[in-house]
Amino acid sequence: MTPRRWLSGAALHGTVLLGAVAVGFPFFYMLATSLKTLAEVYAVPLTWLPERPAWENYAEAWRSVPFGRFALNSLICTATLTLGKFAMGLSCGYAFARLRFPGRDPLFGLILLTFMIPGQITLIPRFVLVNELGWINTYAGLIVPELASVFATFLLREHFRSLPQDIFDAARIDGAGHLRQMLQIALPMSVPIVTTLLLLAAVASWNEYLWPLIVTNTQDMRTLPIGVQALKFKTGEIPQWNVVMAGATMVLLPLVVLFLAAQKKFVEGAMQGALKG
Amino acid sequence: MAIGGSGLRVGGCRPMLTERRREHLVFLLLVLPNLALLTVWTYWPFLSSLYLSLTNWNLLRPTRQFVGLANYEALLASARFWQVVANTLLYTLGTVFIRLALSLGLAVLLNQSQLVLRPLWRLIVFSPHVTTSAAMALVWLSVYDPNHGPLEAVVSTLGFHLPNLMASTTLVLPALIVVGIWKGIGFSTVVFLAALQGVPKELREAAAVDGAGACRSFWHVSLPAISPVTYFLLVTGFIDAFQTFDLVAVMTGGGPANASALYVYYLYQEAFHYYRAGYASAVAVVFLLVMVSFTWFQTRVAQRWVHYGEAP
Repeated sequence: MTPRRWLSGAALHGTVLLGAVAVGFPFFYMLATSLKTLAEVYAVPLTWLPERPAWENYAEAWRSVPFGRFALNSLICTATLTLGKFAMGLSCGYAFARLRFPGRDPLFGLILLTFMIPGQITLIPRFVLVNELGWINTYAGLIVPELASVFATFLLREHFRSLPQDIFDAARIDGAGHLRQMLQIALPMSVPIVTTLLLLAAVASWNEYLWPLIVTNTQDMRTLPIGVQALKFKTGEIPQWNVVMAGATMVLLPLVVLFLAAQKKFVEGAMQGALKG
Repeated sequence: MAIGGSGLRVGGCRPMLTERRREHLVFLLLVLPNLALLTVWTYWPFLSSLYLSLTNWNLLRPTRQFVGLANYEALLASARFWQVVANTLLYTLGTVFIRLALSLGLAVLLNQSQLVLRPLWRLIVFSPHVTTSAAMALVWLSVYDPNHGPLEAVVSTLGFHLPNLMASTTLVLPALIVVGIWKGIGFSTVVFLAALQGVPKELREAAAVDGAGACRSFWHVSLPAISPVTYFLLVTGFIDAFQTFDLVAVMTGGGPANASALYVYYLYQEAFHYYRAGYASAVAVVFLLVMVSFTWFQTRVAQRWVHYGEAP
């Protein structure tokens, strides 16, 4: 290897390392702070690592606000929304791809039109409706208005249309009805795209902030992204950043697990979105 | 024939008719739940928003009056509205263009064949994309802490003092832009990387044969080849940045003195802090108009510089 080539390799790795450190720093700082004592948080000069991990911050975060309740609410909303949106996307996508109905394609156009309507524009009437239904501070208010699926319907329809017709014909001759064709043929042939859709929907629901903020106002109905904010105000004049960071870490934990388990799917999802778009 | 034929009709055609009927029925069964939800929670609220924007409704009052375009006039005459528009534009342009430049650079580096541990670097760079904005906003608040934060620690070793970014009317928006860039850089880097890996090798080899160096080959071959992806990232980046809410709500609450109020946060404030549903609906409708005309404008402009594979 020539010296020049060696030098450019070193510069390349140095720059990439610098970029990775810059992007990764907030995570490092969050974890390090979550394990410091309050004295270490406010030490001058700043110490980068705790002397001894103070795990009790996590217990403190869990205790000082109804963290378990937030987590339960987030879990219920995420699970219901993810599965519900998937069920909507599967049935709607299948129907628009493989069943005949007068006016089917204009109807699909109507669904696609909602891509053009940003969620923010429907916020006020939605809130008014939830209020009139008496759904403020209920799971129904958190879940039902968000349940409809456009993205999954669109992607699954495209996918189902690309499946070979022969297989469906064979199944019909064997006496399989539409529901069985959908569940036992179309679905098993779509595992990769379905996994991606489930992951994206789960992450989006887990991170949702604006809608739960509007339709809940009691502590016991808050979801994690909103509930965790209470840690900042809980602790008086000076924020106990160690406890706040412990709380933030716990909010991120399920995402980290999901991401590390299925990182290829996430990255592929991003790439697919781009290449289709 | 007549008797036999009618027998056949009963035996052969009726099942066919019912099969078609059944297909229609199954279609409706499968489609109705989603369509009903969309109707109640998207189409109707959409129309309702248009109407509400023409009323003086206050969420706390039971009655509302039709006031024509008064909300729109008030909005266009409001200095606060225009400040919010300026903030949003600055935030959007700053976030999208700086992020695009940085992530293209990163993607080019990550695409080098000499690079070791590429999956690890890609994993780290991509990770902010999957995080909860509201939680990471808390982390960034502590990073920006003017007295005990890590940024202050670094700045003070250089002999400077970190101002309170969240309380500075000039620095609060740049500070939010940094967070916005951080949050989205992984997505655009990974997308750029995928696009760069898809540039046909023959194209670059042909350029090399013609005597183009690495820089010229990148500028004249790779960059045009990935322009559809650049366009995609530009459009989604703009739409995403327009809609920023979580960062503002957690980190600044729009302050100080409205300096960091972005559009959706302003809409939220008007509707759910001041209960001015009519006025806020006008704000929402203007948002829709901006989004639609932006999309239209984008597609017009894109024809000039986006190269889609095959020659026209």
